[in-house]
Amino acid sequence: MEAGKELDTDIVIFVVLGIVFFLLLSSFVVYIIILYRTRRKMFMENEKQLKVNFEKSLLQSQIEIREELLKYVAMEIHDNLGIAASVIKMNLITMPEDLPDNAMLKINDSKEQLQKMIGDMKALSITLKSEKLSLGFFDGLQQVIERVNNIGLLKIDLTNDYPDELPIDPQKQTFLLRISQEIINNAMKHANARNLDIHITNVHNILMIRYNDNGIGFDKDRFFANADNLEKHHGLKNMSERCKLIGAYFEIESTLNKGTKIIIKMHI
Amino acid sequence: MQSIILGGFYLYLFLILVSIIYGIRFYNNLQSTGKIILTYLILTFINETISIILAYQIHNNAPAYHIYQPIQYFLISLVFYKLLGENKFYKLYFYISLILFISFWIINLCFLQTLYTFPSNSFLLCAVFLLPQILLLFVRMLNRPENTPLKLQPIFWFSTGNLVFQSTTFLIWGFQNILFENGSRMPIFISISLLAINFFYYGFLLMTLYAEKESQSSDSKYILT
Repeated sequence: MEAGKELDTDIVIFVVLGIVFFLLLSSFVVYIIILYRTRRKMFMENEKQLKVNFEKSLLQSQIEIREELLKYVAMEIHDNLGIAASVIKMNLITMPEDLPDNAMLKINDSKEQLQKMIGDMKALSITLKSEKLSLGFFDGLQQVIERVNNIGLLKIDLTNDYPDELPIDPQKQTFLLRISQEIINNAMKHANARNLDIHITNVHNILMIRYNDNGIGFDKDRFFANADNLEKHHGLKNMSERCKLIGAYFEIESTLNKGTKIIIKMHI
Repeated sequence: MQSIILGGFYLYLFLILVSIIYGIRFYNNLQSTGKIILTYLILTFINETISIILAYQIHNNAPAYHIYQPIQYFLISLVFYKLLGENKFYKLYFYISLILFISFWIINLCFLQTLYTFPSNSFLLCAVFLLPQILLLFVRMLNRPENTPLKLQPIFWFSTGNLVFQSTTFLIWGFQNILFENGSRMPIFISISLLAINFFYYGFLLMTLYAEKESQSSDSKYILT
């Protein structure tokens, strides 16, 4: 009888111990799960950050390579093509003057065209060289606009409500200029626009550059839905990535036959 | 009550069989650890079948568990070895614990709990040797978080299943050893507890195979090994 009671007490102790043990075990498993989730979250955030950093450095190197290439092209234009054009010009100048009037007219016309070509090449060379961008985004943009307006295919109107010097580093200014060049190029090459308005404002230390063209525009949703378009026309992607890299906001709005509107916003 | 336990036992055998069929069906999607678990499941199924035959024939199934004990310990340890083997201290632990376990198993079989006595001592030692490995695996899991949900991580299912199973069996066999004399009949509530914990454990092993298959077939790098 005594032994039976003792056994019952032991069983009760076992059950109580078992319950306590299970509670502890469950708490441990729950603790492990919570701890793991916290660490996983941190790990994923780190991985995301690493990916962003990697993309940034990749983009940075691509841009550096492109800048180098542009510098090389600018140097070639200036040193080789420029010199060749100058030699041709010298030859034309030193032509004997006893040629028939018809020939002299053509020679003088060629001299004028050549002079214009040398000027354009020089301007192009200056624009392509990033060192020259130490002039700043505004001056660089002004040069590009002048050059494009001289060609006559597109008329660009610039309204700058922020005439002060931009308080951002030269590299970011280079990026802004390259983005603007891309937008101008797209307006001429793809949109067949006749006019492009560029409006620069500063509202509460936010630099806003708006580009409005009167070109053929495009269906934005269909364009971005097609992966092939992004592959073929990577200019838009480049612009967006460049903006991301300098911490700027990039927005594009376009409707078929109603032109394209691009907005870039950046804290200064 | 006995018939309910017997019904539960057959259900438990069915669960192992389902796990085996699942493992064989997706054999090519399993890593080496999954294949070891599958082997373990097959051998457990054979052992449990023999044990029930022995229970009917000679009313004592202890010999089946005696023979299966070192195989069971070796196979579970091997899974841990595959997962933690890169650590040289763990390697040393693996070999030493294996030698100690087999030595104790022989001593236990010869002198403490002979062939017709249930080898609860060996089960206790098995749990003692496996628990540090389980905790080490948890540490490894926490130190190497992966970009995949926990439910699809074989390591999680395997570690948690073993943690609950080994620590519970340790408690149960410890209790059995203290309160009941060798050879005495196992109390009903212990049988029920064991059955419940076996259901839990083999359910978790099935989930381990499922998670391994899923992580492999989704072409993910997050696999058990």
